[in-house]
Amino acid sequence: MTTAGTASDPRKNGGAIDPISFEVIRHKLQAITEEQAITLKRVSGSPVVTEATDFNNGLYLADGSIVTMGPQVIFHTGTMSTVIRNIIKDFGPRGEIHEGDMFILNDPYRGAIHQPDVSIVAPVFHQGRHIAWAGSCAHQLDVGGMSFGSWAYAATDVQQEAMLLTGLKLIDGGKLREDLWQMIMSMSRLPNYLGLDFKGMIAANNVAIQRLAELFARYGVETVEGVMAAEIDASERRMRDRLRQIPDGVFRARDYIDHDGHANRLYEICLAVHKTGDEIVFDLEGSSLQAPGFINCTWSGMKGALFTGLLPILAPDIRWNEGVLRPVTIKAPEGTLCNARWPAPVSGATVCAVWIVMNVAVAALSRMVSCAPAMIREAQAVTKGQMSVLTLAGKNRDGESYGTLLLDSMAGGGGASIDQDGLDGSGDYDVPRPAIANVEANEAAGPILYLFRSFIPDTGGPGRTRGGASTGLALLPYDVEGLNAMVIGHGVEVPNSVGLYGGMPGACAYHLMRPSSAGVGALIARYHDAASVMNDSEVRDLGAKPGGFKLGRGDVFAYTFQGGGGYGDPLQRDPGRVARDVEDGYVSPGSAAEHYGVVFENGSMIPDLAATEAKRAAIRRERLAGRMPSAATPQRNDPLAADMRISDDGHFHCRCGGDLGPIDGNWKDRSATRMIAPEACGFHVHLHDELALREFSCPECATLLEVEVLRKDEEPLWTMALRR
Amino acid sequence: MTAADAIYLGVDIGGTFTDLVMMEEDGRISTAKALTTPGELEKGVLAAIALAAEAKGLAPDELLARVRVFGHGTTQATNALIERKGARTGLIATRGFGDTIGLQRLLGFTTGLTVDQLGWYSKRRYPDPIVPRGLRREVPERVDHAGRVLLPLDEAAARRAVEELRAEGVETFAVAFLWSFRNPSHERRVGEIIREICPEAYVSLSCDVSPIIGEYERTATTALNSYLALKVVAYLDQVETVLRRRGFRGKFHILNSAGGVMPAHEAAAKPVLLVASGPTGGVLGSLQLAKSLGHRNVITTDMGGTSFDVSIIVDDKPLVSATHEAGGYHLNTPMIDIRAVGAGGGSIARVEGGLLRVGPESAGARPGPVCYGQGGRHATVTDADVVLGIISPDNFLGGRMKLDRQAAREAIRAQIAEPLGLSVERAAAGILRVVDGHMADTLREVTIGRGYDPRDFVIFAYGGAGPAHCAGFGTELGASKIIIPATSMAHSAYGALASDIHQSSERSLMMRGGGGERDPWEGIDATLVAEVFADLEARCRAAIEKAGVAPEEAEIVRTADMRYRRQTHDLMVVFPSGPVGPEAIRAAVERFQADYEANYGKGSGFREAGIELTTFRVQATGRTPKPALSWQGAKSAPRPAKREVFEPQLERWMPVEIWQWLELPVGHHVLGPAVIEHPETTVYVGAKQAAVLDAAGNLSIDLTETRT
Repeated sequence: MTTAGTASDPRKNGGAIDPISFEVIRHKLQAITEEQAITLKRVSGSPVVTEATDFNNGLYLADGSIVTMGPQVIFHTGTMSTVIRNIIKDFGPRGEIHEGDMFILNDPYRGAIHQPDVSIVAPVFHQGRHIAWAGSCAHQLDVGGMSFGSWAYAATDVQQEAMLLTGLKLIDGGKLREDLWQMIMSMSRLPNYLGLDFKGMIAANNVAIQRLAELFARYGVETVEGVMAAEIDASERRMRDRLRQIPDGVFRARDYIDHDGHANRLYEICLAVHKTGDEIVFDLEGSSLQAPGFINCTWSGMKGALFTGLLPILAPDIRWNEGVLRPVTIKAPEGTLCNARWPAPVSGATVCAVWIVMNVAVAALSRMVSCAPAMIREAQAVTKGQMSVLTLAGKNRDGESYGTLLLDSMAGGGGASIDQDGLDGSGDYDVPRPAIANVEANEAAGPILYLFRSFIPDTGGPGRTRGGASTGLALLPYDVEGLNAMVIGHGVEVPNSVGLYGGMPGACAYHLMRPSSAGVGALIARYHDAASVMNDSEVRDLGAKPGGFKLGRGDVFAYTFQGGGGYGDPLQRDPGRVARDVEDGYVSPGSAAEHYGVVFENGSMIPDLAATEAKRAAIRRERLAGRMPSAATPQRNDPLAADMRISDDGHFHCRCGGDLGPIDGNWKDRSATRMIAPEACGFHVHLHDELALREFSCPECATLLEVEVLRKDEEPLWTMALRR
Repeated sequence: MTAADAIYLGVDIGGTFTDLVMMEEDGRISTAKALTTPGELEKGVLAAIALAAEAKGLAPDELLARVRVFGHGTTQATNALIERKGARTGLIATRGFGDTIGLQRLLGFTTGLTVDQLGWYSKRRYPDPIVPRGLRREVPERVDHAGRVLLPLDEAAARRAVEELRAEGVETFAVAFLWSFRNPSHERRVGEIIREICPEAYVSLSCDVSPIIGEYERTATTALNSYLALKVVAYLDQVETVLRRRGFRGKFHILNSAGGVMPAHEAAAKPVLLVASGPTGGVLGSLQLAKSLGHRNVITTDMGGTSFDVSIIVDDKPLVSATHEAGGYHLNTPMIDIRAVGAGGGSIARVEGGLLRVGPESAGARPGPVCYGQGGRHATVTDADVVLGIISPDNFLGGRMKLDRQAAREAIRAQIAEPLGLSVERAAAGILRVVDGHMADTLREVTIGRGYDPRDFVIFAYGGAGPAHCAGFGTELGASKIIIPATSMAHSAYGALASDIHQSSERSLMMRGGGGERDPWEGIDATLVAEVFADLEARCRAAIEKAGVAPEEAEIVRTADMRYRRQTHDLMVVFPSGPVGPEAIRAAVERFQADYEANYGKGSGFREAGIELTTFRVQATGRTPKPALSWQGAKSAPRPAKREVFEPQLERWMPVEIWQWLELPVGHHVLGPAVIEHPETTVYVGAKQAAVLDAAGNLSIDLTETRT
């Protein structure tokens, strides 16, 4: 057998690692992280881990820098690295980090996103020297506190929400601390799941420790350390190269969240991305002050959300590690919704403030890359900008206790991009490989019956490329008297899935209940799609965060999720594609006329081109307050041509040639603008009392350039300005 | 036909070549290779038969008349799926759930992506639908988890749906209702209605094709069955007719992806079983060969032009998975578990940011590597093999294809060596180290990742590029022995020839046992389990008998998918043979607990949660007798040729012995570094390794004996 030191001695060229050994070892580091994930998934019994992949694993340098991370929920980017840095800060000075130790932490003020995300991290030693860390993190079904699932919607401070593990040594020199284990388990409502997930995380860390030891033995520890450092440097180099391709400037986005757990108050997150040379700064100045309820997030949640937006847009082909993060600086005032100050409650962070931060990151960075022709394809309208959590608990049909977190709400719509419709059924933006369970699996596991689970027409945001359609479902307790339900979500009265360049927002979410005492057969016959529930005169709108409620026998609960935002002016969508969407049922004939301006020949699916042109011309005139456009609608010969061209004269121009002013000025000042009703964007777009919709069009050809959601009392957002 | 001159043929049609393996009654085997003609696949089959006949001095008809069994592996179903050339299929589903096949549980746009590709959101796409939304219809009806009817079938609506689909020009139908495997009455009734309205139409009901829990996979499997049916049926008819017309009177067997061959009529009823049969042939060939050589644990590796397909055989049984992906869809027909990664002879090497990358992009067979001279411009693994002198440019495919070594050198120089500041040879050796390293990492993942120690396994290496690379990835893995089968150049065809009749039958039925303080097998209804198994077994035995094997000669394996309650990982657990009573159930549950800990680690079991049984399966294998393999090696050791090879591990040019496989005597040792050539393949034996030819014509490379 060939071993280290023969032909494969990687350092024989004067101490530098040769590129071939680098690639071989680098691949092994990635394989270790995959094996960590497989190990965790196999041991865990929780659908949150196995289906929603709400976990992550990674390898880190001794100082906590990320070397590798898994492709699971990417909110966790950098959180474990923060966890490790906090462990180092607390235990390091006392000399209490030893071989065989593992540390556990779920404190959102020390690195976790919210309390259910428990991290277990392990130092990796070689001959007594601390070389690296291995870490695992997974969302737990319940870590105690005042509400099932540790979603403490009624909390006013962090002490009420859940157990708080501030960084404890769970394994001491290879020995599990049984006393701690007992204490932690006794604080959870689902200790069995918790125990399995902990075992899975410990096993995953052990796999990593063992595999790293094998690598050290084979290639030499200095070589492996060299590869880890060089791997980070390589990603940093590629990231900086990429950033240099983008014009310098400021790119902004703003988004809102309805309901803080106590009242339907509106909060906002503001983001400005300053891009200069090969660096970017995220600045969240202007975001709302922290809320009295559980919707806030801490610095680590905000950081994870910003990187969730950044990685797929700026680094889809760069390996994700510390190097990608190095050119990025984050600024956020303390005491805000996205950088809460102790002891603000944060247990809903991942589905509330974090989600909104992700939305603004996607929107602002998409604006940014749309100014770089080589990267314009990565610019995306917002994907399903909302989350709804549904937990169900009670007795199962055999009398045993039952509790579940239903994950079907991942099945919203994807944001459109310049040359692609959004995915119809996309999963959440933070999950690279999503999955939802079969209806039959959920009905087998618990006392519920589904009435439908299907796509809903008119949920994808209209656009030249259409936002992805969303789904919805209805269910009822079955075989039992009733169940305790809990629903927390947002985006019921905020169209979070905003479009890009005139694309319209996707549908809002619905949380509905239809109380009834009818028999199952009658309910199945009656409620077979979302419309049949929405149009029922006795249906109750539960709002964004109804919290806990009883679902009795015969009571139907239905919820639907946001569709994706559209891209480009919907009046420029090919009528043939609109016709196909109508045939496929993704778009209703009403929406085809209202939003796309497409009129069909009598009772057919064939667009009446003359009538369509007339209808579109009429809508364009409305955009210009009754004035005829002075320029023709631009033709799109190049599908990748930017909607707002940066011209040699240093101005933004519409594709028709219309001048939108200097690139360092506010293009909106030159645009034709007006307030519009929510129905003008989509039949499922709803607005909070404090919100409004405003459109901005080219003053010459009336091409729609932006649809903005904003507070009634707010100035429109200056979305982008380039440095001259 | 007398027993003594009976012939067994195995034929496998690949994208480029149609491979044939012929076995005679004395156990001698030979291979032939003909070009595949796309669109006229039977041409390649006949050409290969003609070549084999010629080698024996027979006319093709004379040869065919002597063929007792013709085993056939076909990618017809796979190609029809990949190219989306199946039938226009209409799907009828439960009202409210017609989008199941479109939503795909959100799995559709990440199928087949590697970890590296997952973050590239702008490239996400759902697969082209096999049933477009316009050809899906919903019908009011509902059955619950226990099989109770909650809403009777609306027959008028069903009739309307069928009429509408017929008007849409649908050629085949699929029906998949919720929980139909618990109560098939609604699906069966719709089946009758379809036959009434469209008597000629091919119909698949999910309760027949895939009576397994999980509506998405069941629907996809059923729809795919109908989607593929017309192509597969027509193709099999055509091949069989051509063979029969040429005098073939033996049995015509089709290789499936589940673990064996089946008669053509069975394949026509369940064409979805053929979807992934391509790489299965090699695994089954390896299984038969491993049995005859006495190896119970084998890693099979098939390295072709674009992919590296790996599976493992443990205790004489290939690992089977209950679900798999094909053409962007997820199917729940049981299938031999094969992991494919993008590493092959055509894998493209490139330098990115000063670092060397190989694959997963591939130049494929067309245009192929630079050295093929067919327009390929990217340096590939095969180009590196040629530059290093491992593959001879003059003797590739027995000299039938001349390779352009200078062009390969130039591509590696310009694309790899210069940017890295290495010599051309070192760059080429680097490409080998990287691709061999990736393959070894994959092998490690499929063994260690499942709780096995790769050192307990023998590697079987086959496929176009496998024999040239196994010395490299085998060493990297730390394996002890590699076997390169005598049929390595046509191993799938050998699998089609050597495999036994295989029939499987399965059904989901949820049962629970244990919980809390009770033993986990308590509460499982043994009578019901016995009934289910008896029913499945009877179906299998009947099918085996129909295939011409005495039912009592069938080997029956009964398994149940078990899991701890509230967990999502099933294990297929084998039931002990003999009658099913409480003792057998207890034994199976105990085996589950042991297997679970072996798979997922000590202490991972969750006994207090109780046990769930979800799906019961029976597999029947009907042994079809075949001669034992034998090999007529050369009488004496020939003198090897010599050629300069840049030894990739030692990283220097050295004169290396070049042997001819077909001229080696049995038992002859070839000491590495050495090249062993065959008209259809090239074997590389690394430095400090030794290869020996066994009595069945296989080469084995010993990696444990380090010579000095």
